[in-house]
Amino acid sequence: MNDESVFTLPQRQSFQGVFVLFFTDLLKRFKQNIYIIVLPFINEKIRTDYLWLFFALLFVLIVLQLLYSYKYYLNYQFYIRKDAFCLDYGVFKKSNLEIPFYRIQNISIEQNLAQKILGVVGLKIDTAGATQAEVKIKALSSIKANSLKQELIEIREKTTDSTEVTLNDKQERSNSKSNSKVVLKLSISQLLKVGVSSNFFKGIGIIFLVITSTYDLISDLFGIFYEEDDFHNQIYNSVPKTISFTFIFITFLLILGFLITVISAILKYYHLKVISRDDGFEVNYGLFNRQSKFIKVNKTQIIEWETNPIKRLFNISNVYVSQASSGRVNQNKKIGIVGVNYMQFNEIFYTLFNKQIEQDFSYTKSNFRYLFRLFWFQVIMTAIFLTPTYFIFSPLTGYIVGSLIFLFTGWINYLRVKKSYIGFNEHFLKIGSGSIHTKTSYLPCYKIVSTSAQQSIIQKKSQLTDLVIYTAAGSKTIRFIPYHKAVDIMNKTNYYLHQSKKEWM
Amino acid sequence: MSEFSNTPLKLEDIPDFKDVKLQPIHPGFKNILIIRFSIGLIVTGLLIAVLFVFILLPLWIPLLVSVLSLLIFTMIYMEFFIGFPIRQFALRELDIIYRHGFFVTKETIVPFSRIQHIEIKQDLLMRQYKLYALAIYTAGESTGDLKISGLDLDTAQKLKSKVLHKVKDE
Repeated sequence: MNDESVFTLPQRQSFQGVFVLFFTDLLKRFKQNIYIIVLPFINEKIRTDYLWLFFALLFVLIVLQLLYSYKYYLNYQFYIRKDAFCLDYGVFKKSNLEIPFYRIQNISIEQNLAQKILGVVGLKIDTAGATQAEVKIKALSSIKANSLKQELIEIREKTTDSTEVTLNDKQERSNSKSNSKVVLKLSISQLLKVGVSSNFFKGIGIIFLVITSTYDLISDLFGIFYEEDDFHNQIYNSVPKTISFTFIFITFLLILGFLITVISAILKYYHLKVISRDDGFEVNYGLFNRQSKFIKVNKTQIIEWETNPIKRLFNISNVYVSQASSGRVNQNKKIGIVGVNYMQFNEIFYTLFNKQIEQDFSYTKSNFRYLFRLFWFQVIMTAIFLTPTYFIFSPLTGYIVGSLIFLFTGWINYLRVKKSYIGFNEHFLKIGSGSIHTKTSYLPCYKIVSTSAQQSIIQKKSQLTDLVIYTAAGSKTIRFIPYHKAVDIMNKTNYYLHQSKKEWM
Repeated sequence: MSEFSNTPLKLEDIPDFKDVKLQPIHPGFKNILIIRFSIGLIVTGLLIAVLFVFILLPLWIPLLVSVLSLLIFTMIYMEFFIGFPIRQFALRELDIIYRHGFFVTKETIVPFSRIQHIEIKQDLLMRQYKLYALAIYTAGESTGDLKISGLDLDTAQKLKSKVLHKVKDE
């Protein structure tokens, strides 16, 4: 099939690519040189004398940028050779990039707003390596992108089949020959449930960020015209120092935070669809920024199951999958599947690990001395809320808010300790965490990279330790468990790890 | 799991890494730690002196800074010198064990099969004492990497070849 494929010949992007490139580059330039652009609006001399020159220059630069984008588009060519995906690019300095098929980790199709308007999609090819080498083709027609993706996946499959894949995997693969079925498809009402049950504190955090940054921006801008002190005085004088205002303000923040969280969840996970394929899952979601991600069985290291009281009421939960990566795996790099019920999670789990989720584990819980370490969080949070309310509103409000926060964070800490545990058997580690929400992480023993026990001198006295499990997709820490238990887990997981000959990454 | 022909081990018979006798690192590395420590001490001392003399600050600021840095240096001192005998390592058939730290003692096991690559490193000070550091890189997060400082060339190279050999075998 790949002999007669169009991709063996050098291909350009869709013509719309010129504009995608142009707009993204223009935006970048604009961001870089924002100060120069603002210049004529601040300085009157420049405004009166050189305004025409400024616009002329701007015009020339934009035309040059457009020409550059066009030339870049002409020079940007990609093709498939026998053993590698090749890419020629560059305007002034021409480069040729070759990615051997076996290095390709992940191929995803994405669509941002500009691409959506122009009716094209972007294709991203991730590779594993010490330095992050990845290819982003910015504009392809949806059909072409999909056929290229399909072809790359097929070729990759062929090349790896002959070399890497173990007998076990082959058997599994032949059992489930080419079935692609939809595991999960979120309707709008389910999506609404997901939004409602999300963590509102994140939304509130975003509001705080927006308020503080806009306050800085406004005072910066107006500071040019007003004396700084006047401005601050005006702001402070206009803050009514009443308790009722505080409550209205807080309620307003909560409602706004709630709305932002719900809306952003809906936008992000709009039309979420999980399709089961031969060697993993395809996950598609997003309204403005449509994402297509692939969860590979071999690359999957950790799977996390997250729920909270509201989610439990709706019978939905979030699942996060961490895959092997060269950089640090943070929350954004994890692939999130929302609105999953336990049955669906079980199905995903079974496909990824070929085991049922219900297993016997021997559990070890975190000791309650963990509370002492978390106490600092309580103190700092209380101080953060007490100080401003004490000075801006009244000492009484300060004390009330402070003690409420102290009790609340104390309760959160209590939950954090209570929900922290590790369970293990010969196949898996099961790690519990969370506070109001509950998170359960599963990772197969043979995917562990290394283990370590970290013991502070205070912990040494009570024979406790923190256990850290490193994987190719980040680490997991279980705090304040008995030292001899940690040693036992290290010994046994180490033994199971050497027993398994399965491909771990 | 058909590949295993191992006779099943009883769980109690699984080797305990705590039974392994660990090996201390080269005693000369202590000097390097002392020199590094002294350089840090002198630089901070000078900075505090500058704060005192040239910049007119309220007296409590330089005082607080010196008390704090004294505290920190005492802790580093304790970390280095009480912690020095704790820095130990051992090779087993299938993995490498490293232990270090006084205030926080960290014991790590890295299986050879999970090592991506290995480097022998040396900085200026270490060159004076002909000592080396062995850096072991694993997949994923860099916090999972291991660095054993203060080995003589012979040990470092032996370790490296042994580990590399094992990695190739897998």
